[in-house]
Amino acid sequence: MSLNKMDLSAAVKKQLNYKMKVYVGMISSLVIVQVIGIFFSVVSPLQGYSTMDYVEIEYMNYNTLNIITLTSLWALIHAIIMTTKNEWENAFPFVGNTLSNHLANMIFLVGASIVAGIVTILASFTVRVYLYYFTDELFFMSPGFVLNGGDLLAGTVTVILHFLLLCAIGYFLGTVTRLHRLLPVLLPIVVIGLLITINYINHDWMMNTVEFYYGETSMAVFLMKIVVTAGILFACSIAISSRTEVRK
Amino acid sequence: MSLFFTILILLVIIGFPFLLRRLQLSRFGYWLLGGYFILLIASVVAYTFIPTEEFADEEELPTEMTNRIYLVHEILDQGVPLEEFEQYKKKEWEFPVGTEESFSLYAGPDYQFPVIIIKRVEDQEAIHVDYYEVTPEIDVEPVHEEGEVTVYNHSGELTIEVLGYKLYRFNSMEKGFPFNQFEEEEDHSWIYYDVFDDERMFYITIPADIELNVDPDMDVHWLN
Repeated sequence: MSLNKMDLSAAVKKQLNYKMKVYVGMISSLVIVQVIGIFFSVVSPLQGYSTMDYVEIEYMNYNTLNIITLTSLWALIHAIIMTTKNEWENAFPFVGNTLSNHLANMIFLVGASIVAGIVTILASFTVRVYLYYFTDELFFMSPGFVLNGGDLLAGTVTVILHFLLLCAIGYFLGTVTRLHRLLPVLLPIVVIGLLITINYINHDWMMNTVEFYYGETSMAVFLMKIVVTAGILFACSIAISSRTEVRK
Repeated sequence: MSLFFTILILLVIIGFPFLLRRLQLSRFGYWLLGGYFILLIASVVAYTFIPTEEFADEEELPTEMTNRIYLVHEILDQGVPLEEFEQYKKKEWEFPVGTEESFSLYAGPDYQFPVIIIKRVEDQEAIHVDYYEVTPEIDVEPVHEEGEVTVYNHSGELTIEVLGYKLYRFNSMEKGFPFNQFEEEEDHSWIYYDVFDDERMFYITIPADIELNVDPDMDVHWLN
């Protein structure tokens, strides 16, 4: 069968199958990162101290932010790794072209975000269960300990979209670094420099950007913002890549 | 330390997949995920056995957090008679006036500023000092408690000593991101502090013809 006549969806499917095999290390690293996150969520709560006239209070506030932070880092880094030259070249012993490779990568990242999101939400139960059954910690009137169905739905949707956004950012940055061989070294400096400069010109810019996404209180609008942003980033990645690739 | 931790995490994230690939152990990745997933599901099942009523409902805080009695507010602002709070009286002292015409009220060196209410009473021959204390009605026991409340008279100088402290330890679990993305998570910590706090008050009645000079640093309210 000629490559030219190969159906795009079939090519994407084949490449996706290949990627699911070759990127299995990414899944292992997700599990390791999650376990580390759970460990730090349990052993390093935020500690506070308060004193009134005769009463002193020491309190520890547990949360699962460590798991989310580490998994976010995992999503960003692995999306960048997927665009490295080696990984890119490895995908071409198989049928397909640049577009099918990108599409397969994106579908894989969407799937990885969904898996990462689900395990992150479930890991927050593990932290709660460990603290309740295996420690003698006293939880005093802690409404945050209880997660209901609404919290789970909102949490799962949010965290999946959050990881998807980070994957899209990582994929975009990784693709940009392939424009020039010096960019892998220069890009982090350029990005950090740009962020500092923009922040210098407009102090609220970074805060407003974060607020634009994470201050959103409507699930539908939040979903739309993230999906559109991720879509634009992926589309830009494809456009940039098509200008640099010899192999079409 | 945080830099070391960051480098360690980066090494795990980047290095682990390569290491697995090098050792030809990559195929175990999905098994690892499967095992981890089973552990997580087991956690969810175990979580369903935790009695959630042990934890405060965010929308309906327990009565001990909202129905506290504030003695000073009740007496000074609401005008509730002191007799209604007899159950909170912990100690009392009586100091005969004798030939003294004036007294001074001082605080001891480690005094912790409880509120003092002073009332002049006709036909009273002695100075009465009553000490009231409202402690929180909660299940949490202090991990450390020491306290000494004394009042003594030395040649017309009344000195109030309030020593010691209570230490509580408790934990809370924050819902946090991503669970609170679409709702405002309320911060109840100020109510917690309010619940833990003891209210201490001295109620002093003095004969109407006695002059009482008070240390200006003390929180004193004259009723008449």
